[in-house]
Amino acid sequence: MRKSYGTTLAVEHIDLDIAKGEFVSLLGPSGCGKSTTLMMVAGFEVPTAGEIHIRDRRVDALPPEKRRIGMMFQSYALFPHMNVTANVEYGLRMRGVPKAERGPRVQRALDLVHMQGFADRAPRQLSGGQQQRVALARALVTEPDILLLDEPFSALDRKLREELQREVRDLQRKLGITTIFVTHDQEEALLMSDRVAVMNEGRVEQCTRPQNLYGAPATSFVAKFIGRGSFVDGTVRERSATQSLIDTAIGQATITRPQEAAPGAQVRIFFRPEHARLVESTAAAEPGLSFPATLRSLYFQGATTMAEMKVEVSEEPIVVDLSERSQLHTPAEGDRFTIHVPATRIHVFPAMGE
Amino acid sequence: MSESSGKSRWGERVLNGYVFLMTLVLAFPLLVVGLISFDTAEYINFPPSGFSLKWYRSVVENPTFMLSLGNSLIVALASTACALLIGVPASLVIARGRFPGRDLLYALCLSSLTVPWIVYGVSLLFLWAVLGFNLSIMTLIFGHTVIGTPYVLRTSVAVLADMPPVYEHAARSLGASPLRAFWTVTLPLMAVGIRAGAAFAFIVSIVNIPISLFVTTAENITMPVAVFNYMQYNFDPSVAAFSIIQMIIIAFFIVFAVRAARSGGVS
Repeated sequence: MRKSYGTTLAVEHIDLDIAKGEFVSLLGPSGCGKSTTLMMVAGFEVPTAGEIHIRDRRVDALPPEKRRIGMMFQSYALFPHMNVTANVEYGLRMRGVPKAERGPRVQRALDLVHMQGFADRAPRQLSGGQQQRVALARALVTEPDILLLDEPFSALDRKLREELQREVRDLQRKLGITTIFVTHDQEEALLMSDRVAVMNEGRVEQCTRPQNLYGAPATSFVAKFIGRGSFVDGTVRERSATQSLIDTAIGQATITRPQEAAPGAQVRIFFRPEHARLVESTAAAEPGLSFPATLRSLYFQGATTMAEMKVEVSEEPIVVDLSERSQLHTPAEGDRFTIHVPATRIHVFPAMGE
Repeated sequence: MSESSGKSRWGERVLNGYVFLMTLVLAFPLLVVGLISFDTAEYINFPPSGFSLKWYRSVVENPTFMLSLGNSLIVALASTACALLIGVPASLVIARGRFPGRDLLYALCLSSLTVPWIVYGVSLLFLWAVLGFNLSIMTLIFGHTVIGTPYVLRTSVAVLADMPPVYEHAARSLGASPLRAFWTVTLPLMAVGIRAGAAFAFIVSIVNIPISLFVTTAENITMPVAVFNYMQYNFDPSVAAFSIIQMIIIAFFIVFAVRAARSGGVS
């Protein structure tokens, strides 16, 4: 599937297969093409090339009203001139469901989202969270083949957001409804999804389970976008079947993860803050990467404490998770340490691009 | 605290005085017309010298006035309806469409607001002559539709511009065809703008002299033209009485239209 506006390519290439009942997120920075992709699935944008199938039905030539979709929007989009019941009933009315059948179905949908007591209210009399619940009932009442969520939680405050995320996820599992969720918030994408597709500049960088996305990022963009970590430039010196040696400005790194760069190639190595350990002595027993660094600043964040470490040869700080160490003694700014990253925890990406 | 509230009370007083003054400035001419319409004198003069309803009776007994009243209502209602039928769909194209030349099209659609009406009236007269059409109430309705439509278009585009397309998307995603989505969602949400536009279109039609003057005949004469003609030979307060009647009709229709649109807008 492809989408271009004139010479601007909004979505360059998307090839996604979503299983029935699966919850897949499209995650990426603004302008990455995730919303355009959703709009193409919904039928509000026409793909320049490619096909869209929903349940063995080719839909890319169908108008939105024929695609059997349910949709939730960031701005809720409840019809302001109709009350809650009329809003939820709307889809049934448009699809020609007999009047006698509509009442009970609206009731059931409102029950699902715990809004049964609000049937006669106007949307403006409801809070944001309540409006979004009604919007969910409205999207589900027609029993669509696929549920499309366009950043539905980003207008809510944090507590309400978490509550609704959990509810939508539980309901989605219970009903087994295939769902595509567009968001720029990595936390909610990781929390809710079976799979997350990280998008960048109109392409899917990686689409996999949230754990894999964090533990085994496929590209440096994904590594940088999901969670935190540090990059160090280097050159591949040696590569064998079991390990690679990479020269960097702060020392030689031994890497046991499989990687594709041949000797001589420019690469960037990457590791997560929680995999970088502060050790007292420079003599590292395990293979990996060891280097001296000075503690520049500490960031206490409740459950975790992050430290920004300064290495001599680079301006870019190395981020280290100090949570486990803090029981021993509290390091102070200006302290010198040796940092060790185990060989299994270092990722290698090509130096080109990002 | 007390100083600031004292200040705000003072500010409020100034504002109230200003509002009162403005209201007086705006309403005063109307007040004069009202007073004159009840005068006993044979000529328009101020202040009036007595009270009578005789000028209202003379209006009712004047066949030209009564004919023009009926004509004006027909023309105003018909041209407002036409303006709505043209202006509302056009506003959708202009506010929602994505095509080159859209701004130019919008400017062109509004351009009849910038042409002096009297020039437009003369042009219309020539147009009908060239096309070989006889002047009739239809040609009059056409002329008024052209000046009324930009008002409907302007107010409708303004509401649509403020209304995110997400409501239409929601309706479509729920199974509504474009037409049903428009009818059940977009149109009721546009009611405010449509109502305002319709009120303007009605008023510009019913008070219009410059266009009507050129394209009316003795049979399809409108109220303002009847007044205009009458005043060329007479100078009695019956025109004041007739103006008051015209004003009451306008006020009635505006209020009525607003009510109807409001109750229709909430389903």
